[in-house]
Amino acid sequence: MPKLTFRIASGFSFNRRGIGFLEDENDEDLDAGSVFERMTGNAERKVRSRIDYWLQGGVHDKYFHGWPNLPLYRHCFEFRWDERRQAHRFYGFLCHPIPLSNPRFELCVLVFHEVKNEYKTDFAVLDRVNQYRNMAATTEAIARTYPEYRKEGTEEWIH
Amino acid sequence: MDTLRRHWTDRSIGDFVYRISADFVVQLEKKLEQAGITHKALATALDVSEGRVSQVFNNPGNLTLTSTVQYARAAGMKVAIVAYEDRDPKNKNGPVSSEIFYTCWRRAGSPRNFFDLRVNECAPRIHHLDPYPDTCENREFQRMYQAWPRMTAGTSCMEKVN
Repeated sequence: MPKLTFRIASGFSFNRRGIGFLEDENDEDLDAGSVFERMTGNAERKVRSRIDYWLQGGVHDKYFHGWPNLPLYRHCFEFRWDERRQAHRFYGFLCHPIPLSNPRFELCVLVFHEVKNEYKTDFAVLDRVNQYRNMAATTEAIARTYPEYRKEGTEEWIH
Repeated sequence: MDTLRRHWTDRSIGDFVYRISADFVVQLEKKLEQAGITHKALATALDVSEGRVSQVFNNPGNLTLTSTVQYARAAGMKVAIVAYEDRDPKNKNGPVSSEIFYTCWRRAGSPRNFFDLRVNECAPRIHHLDPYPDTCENREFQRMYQAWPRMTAGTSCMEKVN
């Protein structure tokens, strides 16, 4: 079983929404957090501005979006930006980690970073996101920050 | 970074400027999309290259106040510089999006001058309805707003209320 951890993204203010990274020090595949931490200059500012906009409840498909009309991928989410003429993406999923005391609170858990050349979504990445989303270890990792995320004494999802 | 205790826009003035410029660009992008104006058409109106327009949209941090106004005017918009207090003097929460100010201004009936504001001050209950577009509350708001006596310069709020 992978040793997953969840880390809140630093430098943001959470009210109705929050954001963080799913990581595993032994698995470089889960690279959203490390890529984000390595970002500098205007690229970092751009991504932070777009995350801020989402945290404030903004809507702008060019910057971020989910796939609410595709049942299989309805929890998946991506942030998008261009850098040096390349299309960058952070892929992750949305969840409600405080279902009892603050059910409206929405968390974006970013998992993968991808650089792509095609406009179309690569659903294989979203399948990988779903794979991690459904792992008990993921629930456990998020529950360390948000204890309400699972029912006490069980591994059952309650959102 | 002091994790979560400090908003990223508090690291430097450049970070703050980038964030509010990015907010402006979001408004501009949405307006262009809504009005069907391409980057090419905007570049023509501004007498700059299309590449320059893309550069500004991609990296708004270098926008000057003059170019901000130029871009807004070319898109048929205007710009206000709004200073505000949000009970967050240490900037733990970052700036409020300019789109939020714009939305509030429109919901308040797009007041054009201070006289319009004074009318609104006299009608707190009308504002309390929090009018959203295309809702029965909004229609009720419009009905009450139109029925409310218009103020003229020199009349006080209390005179009209009484």
